[in-house]
Amino acid sequence: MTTVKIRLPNAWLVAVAAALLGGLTGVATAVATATATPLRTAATAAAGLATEGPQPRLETDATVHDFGRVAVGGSGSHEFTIRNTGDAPLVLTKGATSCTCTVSDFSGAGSGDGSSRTVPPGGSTTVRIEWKGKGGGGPFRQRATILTNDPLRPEVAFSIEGQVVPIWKAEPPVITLAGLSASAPAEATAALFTFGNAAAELVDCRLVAEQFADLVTVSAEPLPPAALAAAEGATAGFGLTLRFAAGLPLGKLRGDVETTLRVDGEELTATIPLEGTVTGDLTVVGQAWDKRAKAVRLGTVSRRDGLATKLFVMAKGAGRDQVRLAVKEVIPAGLEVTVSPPRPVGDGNLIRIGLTLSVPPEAPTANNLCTEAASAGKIVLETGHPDTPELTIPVCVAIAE
Amino acid sequence: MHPAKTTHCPGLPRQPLAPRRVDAVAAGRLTMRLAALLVFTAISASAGSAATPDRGVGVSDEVVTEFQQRNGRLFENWGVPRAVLAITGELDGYIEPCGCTGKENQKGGLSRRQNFLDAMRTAGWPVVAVDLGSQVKRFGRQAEVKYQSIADGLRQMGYSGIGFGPADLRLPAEELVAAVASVGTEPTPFLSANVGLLGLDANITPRFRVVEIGGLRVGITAVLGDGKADGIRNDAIEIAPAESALAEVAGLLQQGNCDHQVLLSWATPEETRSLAAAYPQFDIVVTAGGADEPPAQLPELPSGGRLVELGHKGMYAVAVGFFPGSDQPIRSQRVPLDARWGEAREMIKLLASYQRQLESLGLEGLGLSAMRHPTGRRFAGSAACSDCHDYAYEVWEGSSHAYALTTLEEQDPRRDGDPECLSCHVVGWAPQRFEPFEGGFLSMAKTPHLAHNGCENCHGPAAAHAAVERGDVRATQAERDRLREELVLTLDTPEGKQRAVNNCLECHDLDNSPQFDFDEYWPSVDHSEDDEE
Repeated sequence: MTTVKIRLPNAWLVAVAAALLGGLTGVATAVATATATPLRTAATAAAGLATEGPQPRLETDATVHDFGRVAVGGSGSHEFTIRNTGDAPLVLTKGATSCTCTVSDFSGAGSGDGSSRTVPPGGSTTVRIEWKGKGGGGPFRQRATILTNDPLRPEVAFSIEGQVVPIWKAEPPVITLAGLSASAPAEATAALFTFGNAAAELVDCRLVAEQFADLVTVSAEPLPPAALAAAEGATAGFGLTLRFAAGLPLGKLRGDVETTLRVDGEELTATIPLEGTVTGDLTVVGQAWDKRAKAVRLGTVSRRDGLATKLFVMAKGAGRDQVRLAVKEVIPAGLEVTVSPPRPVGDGNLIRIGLTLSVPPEAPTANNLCTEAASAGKIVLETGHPDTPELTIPVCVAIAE
Repeated sequence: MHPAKTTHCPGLPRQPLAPRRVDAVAAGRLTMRLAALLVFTAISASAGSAATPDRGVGVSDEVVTEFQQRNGRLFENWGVPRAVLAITGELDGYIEPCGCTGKENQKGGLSRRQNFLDAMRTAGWPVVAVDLGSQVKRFGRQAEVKYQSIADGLRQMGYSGIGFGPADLRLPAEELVAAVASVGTEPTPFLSANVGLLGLDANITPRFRVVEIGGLRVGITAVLGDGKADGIRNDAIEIAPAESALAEVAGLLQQGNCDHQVLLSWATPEETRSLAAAYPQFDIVVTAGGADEPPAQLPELPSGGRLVELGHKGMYAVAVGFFPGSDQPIRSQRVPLDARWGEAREMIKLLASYQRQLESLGLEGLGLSAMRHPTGRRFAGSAACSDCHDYAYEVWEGSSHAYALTTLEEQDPRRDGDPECLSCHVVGWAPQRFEPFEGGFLSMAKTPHLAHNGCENCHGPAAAHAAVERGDVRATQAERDRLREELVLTLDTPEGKQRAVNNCLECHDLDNSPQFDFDEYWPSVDHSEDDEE
């Protein structure tokens, strides 16, 4: 019996051959796909795909119309011209619009019902686009698509764009104040622009709020003409200033700034929502800070790998400049806390003090994971704050091998 | 054994053909190598064909064709780019599209966004994803939870650069830091040249980043425009003037030997153009403040760079492809995030987690407290109306308003714990403020009679009227007439009809019911009836 040794091709040759074979196959597939007949559209399917012989050719001068400005609730229309420069009938079908505020219709020459139009060779027709200025104002751009049986242009998108102008607009649209101090006064501003034919008249301005209205004063002054440039097309503007006295209740703020205006002889009320929060003068911030549990969650830390993470104590209000943190007590003992010097943030209404938390390799093991079996650890800081001389930060951590 | 048949081949010496035994080991090796050849061929074929990303996983040809016809085809004549910059932004809180017209008719959402990014990666395109910012629009605990969820989603999708919009920066600093800061050794994708959470020197986020993708170096930075910074009142956030902050970062980026530089500018288009003119090194400049829909083509800046608008509500992404050495080295594609992209499992899980958090927090945990109804009245529930208004009640029962809450319960994940959905699907909430009125729906356990979108959402709270009509409360004829009159809506006068239409528009707004037309919709809920004694 003879043993036949099969001579096997070198593995690298196999790989190269496979790559070449596969790559060529793939490229051939891609080329075939790319040069395949264009996607059949509804119009094409209905009219029969024309890739040989006489073919329709769609031409149009423009596909974008800038309507300038329209008022909120106002409307406009524009006609786009479509020509058939081919030698077969051009079948057009209404496609989708990007918004119900925009509709298309065929007008002009050609035959067909409302949803489609057939344009003979050498002929032309028009597509009429109508739109309504919806929304709160600002830049507006919407699209209407026409499907065709031109194999080179199976669809054409006509776009109309411009500016929708409201009667009034506020900047910001909502007055938001996050983290106000209960112990210090504060101020917020907003601008109210009107877009009437003539300058508007301010009748009244007030804050409507259930709980704290007596702690807030609202005033309004006309904006100088140069300030109107911030809102394109504004014919008048008012700067609103809200001054909050100290003593705001902790928790959520909610109200409405109502401004009564007379614009083009009509009286209207512009309502700007106000929302915010009032928090204590010392707050803890950091990636490991669990706001809901009001604790720092560090999980299980291996003392071999160690830990280096940062927290921040933020001080605001009347006593913020007196805050100087000093570590009074830390549980577990293996958790080290280093305090950075205080630094003002921005205008200095807030002071930031960094705390670096670390676990050195020789730290004793501990379990303070905030479970039923393991109570929370803590970082106790002396603060120097006149109302809160000591700050305790619960810590959920375990230090393992 | 019988000897094998002897054959004679011309030219070959005659010799008997002995039975042959093929070496088993060699045969095994041959089999393995042939199998490897087949697998390698298949892989090479896929790479060679490099399918254009045109759909999410599992989406049928019919759906793709339909949405190609509706919203256009994508990446025509692109080929395979050296790298792609996928740009998103202005999500405005629309973590997913929602509304009465059906999700398939709307665009946007993180789920489709993920599938869009994955489709490009699967097609072998090197992708770097960046986001302009403005993940949320509102303020309050729900916005905070949503921001964290969106930040987690963007990290999962592998974003390399994410800026901040004004609404993001109105959130409490502790929430922003928790969502944005680096996690362990993984750097944060958030960045800004001029916005510093807890101060510019706190270094919570970097000022810029350079990524290598497809052999190209792409520099990325972000700014918040001066015009937008003015409206932010948050002492924990330091915002430097945009141009001076950009001056420093631009210098550092120039040293980074970048092939392309991207500026994410949350500013008006005018201010963005001004920054782009001052720093022409940025060849891709993304701006806020455009129209609802981005333009089909990217306008060119005087510097030769491209200006990118993204539209609103995260309905679109813009892909910028880099083709160095070709006659069109930069190509762009506006990508509608429509139903052709399907849903991504990871984002569905993220949405489910978000909804569970809302449910777990409850209305109180979300900081929602009932506010006084403008009329001062309280709610009775639609069943109370049926005692006298049986025809109207019957019409209501047969309409989709009568199972509005059920539609939220039947969603996957369910939405009946989400105030932004509840506000239009129950009785007694302010639809546009997403908060309950006093006496409005709280839960199925506490207020089942206020489930679904009932009579009083249009006619006003009717508890006093119902009590008088039942005889529970004594009232004069004048008071009885007044309580009845307060609840009447009429379409007989222009003012009356406008009042009715305004009620509808509280929920059938452009966001949730873009197809709404009162005259078309009214017949399905028309419950006009003669006045009853």
